[in-house]
Amino acid sequence: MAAIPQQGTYLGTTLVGFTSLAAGLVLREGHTVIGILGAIVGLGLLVYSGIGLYRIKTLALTR
Amino acid sequence: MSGCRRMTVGLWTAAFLLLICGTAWAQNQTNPTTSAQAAPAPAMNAPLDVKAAQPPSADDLAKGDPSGTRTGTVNDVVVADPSKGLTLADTVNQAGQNRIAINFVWTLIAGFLVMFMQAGFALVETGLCRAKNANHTMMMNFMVYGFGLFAYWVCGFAFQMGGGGPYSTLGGANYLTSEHTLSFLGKTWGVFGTHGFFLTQGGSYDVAVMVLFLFQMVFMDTALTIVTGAAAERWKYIAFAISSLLMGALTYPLFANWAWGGGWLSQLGTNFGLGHGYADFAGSGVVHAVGGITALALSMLLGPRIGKYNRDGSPNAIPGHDIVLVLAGCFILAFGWFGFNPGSTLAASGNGALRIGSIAVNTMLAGCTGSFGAILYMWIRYGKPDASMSGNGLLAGLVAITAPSGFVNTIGAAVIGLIAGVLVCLSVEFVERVLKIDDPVGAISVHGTNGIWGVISVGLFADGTSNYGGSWNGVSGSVRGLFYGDPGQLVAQLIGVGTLLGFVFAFSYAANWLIDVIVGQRVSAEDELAGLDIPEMGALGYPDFVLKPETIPSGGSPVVAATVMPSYMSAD
Amino acid sequence: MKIVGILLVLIGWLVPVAALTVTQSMTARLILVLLGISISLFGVLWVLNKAHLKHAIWKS
Repeated sequence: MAAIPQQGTYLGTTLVGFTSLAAGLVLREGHTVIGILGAIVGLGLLVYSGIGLYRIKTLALTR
Repeated sequence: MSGCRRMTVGLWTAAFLLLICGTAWAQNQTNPTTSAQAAPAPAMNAPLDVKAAQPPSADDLAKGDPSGTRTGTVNDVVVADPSKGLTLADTVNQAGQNRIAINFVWTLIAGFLVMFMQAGFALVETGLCRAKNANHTMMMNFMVYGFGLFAYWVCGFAFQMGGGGPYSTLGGANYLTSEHTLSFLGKTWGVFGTHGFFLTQGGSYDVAVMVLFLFQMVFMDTALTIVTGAAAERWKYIAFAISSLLMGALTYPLFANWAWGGGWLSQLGTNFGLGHGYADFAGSGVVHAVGGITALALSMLLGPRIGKYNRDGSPNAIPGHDIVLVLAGCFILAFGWFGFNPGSTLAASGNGALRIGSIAVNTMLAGCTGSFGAILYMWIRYGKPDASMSGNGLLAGLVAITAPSGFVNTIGAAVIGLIAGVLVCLSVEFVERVLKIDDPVGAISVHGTNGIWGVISVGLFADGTSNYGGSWNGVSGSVRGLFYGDPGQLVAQLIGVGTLLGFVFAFSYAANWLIDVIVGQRVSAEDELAGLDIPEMGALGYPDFVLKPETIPSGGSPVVAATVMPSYMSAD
Repeated sequence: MKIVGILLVLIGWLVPVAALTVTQSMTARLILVLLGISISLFGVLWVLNKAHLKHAIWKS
């Protein structure tokens, strides 16, 4: 399957998730709630992107 | 008797005179010291007599300075307290800042040169690919800069350099001193840095850290862009984006930390008495071998392009579409390499940094003999002086001299480059014919094979004349290879090679396998045959040209290479 | 076979690392390091590559 708009969306969420995860882990050193929250949100976004990209891949294979 | 007495008296007189003269001479020798000790030390904050320096008058300055002798005088020294005037403290501080300023400017300009190498890589890779993939290949080289930079800013730099400080040539960067260590086999092993995330954490918002970041970032990006060449013409753009992020965030910084950031490879000398530890002056291993080995892992996962191999396993040549781009790109890369190697001193003033002249000459010599090695090999073996392999020979020589450039003499550099030039030809043949791995631009051979050769060559050719502040990796004295009496250095270099092949390959393979499972690395066969410009990028690299259609080979017939021709030529 | 190949690659890396503390002899260290590199190369170029070539696109 060629490049499609959803891939761009998931790449965007990957970038945001990656940044948020890293920022959260850094802030967590200071035991801040924002840090833990940021890390969880970041991880969630990465998982969301992964699932989305995996769906696109399986869709392309079934075609 | 009387003569004998006269002689005795004469001798005694001479001895007496000698004693007096000797005492007076000794007093003359000691007096300056005594008087200097007695004289009061000049106060650091006392105003200096500026007139003695004969600064140009306002009238003189108003006339202009065509000879350049009146510009840059005592008038230009920054004064801390204008009410006091110029003091000794001002001049000493100015001298210190000048040294660091020279090093800052040198390192930044070298970094800018290395950044320009991205353009060289883009031209080489695009030129060696077919016209139907020009936009896709160019866009990978273009965006790898952004993806890599972003990941490196977020966490890569902290993992790499967060524990390697302080960096004296840049005036400190004292915050980058937190290395995460493991205790293993009775020793402490540095694994990754933990300071410098986002360049804002703690004291990393610092001018020296910024200079160091810029210089290290462009190196990291060089490693990333090597991979795009080996995976060209069949790599999904989304997979490329995520793979590049991962490499900029983890793969590259980890090995770079071990070699340059105070990690365990750099400690092989202090911990185990192996020479000066793993020594990689500008990154044959850290940059090029990491890129080349990741390229090998990815090429295996992706598999060869359609039409590269016949059913009997024999390879087909798939020529690139523009040799002009390729050789122009090689020249740009050779130019940028003058930032890569001499810039790695991170200094142009102090700590033996004036060796930059020798490093620059080593760099150009190895590139020269590298292209010699390749052109002679190809000419003798195949009958023609092959252009693309000559370019690759130049690059191979430059890659190989990158690690030893700061430690070897010109003879060593010439030999290293010549071997690299032949080695790249042999390696390309081995990878293509024996391993049956498709590498459209020869990145595995140029950067992987010759990166490893460069690392080994430090352990052989380092001549023990370099002196960067009196020590390297915490071991005093200069780096010396096997040929100059230190077999331990060769062992340290080989442990680095083992780590590149063992750890970096396994890590890159696992990371890219995961991306393959989740995202999928390879484009569909239809897209590949059509060319990736339209399916992946939405626009042709050369819209005004007509692409010659490509056919799938059957029964061993050679693939028709896609070529470009102006549209007016295809009217019939 | 791919997993075997990767395991060989990793083992090849660990041999020279372990050799650092096993012996002080430079010759022994050199031999063990070369052995480790050979194991890694065998894992990459022979075992893993052969596993990939089994289903190579040009064979179908």
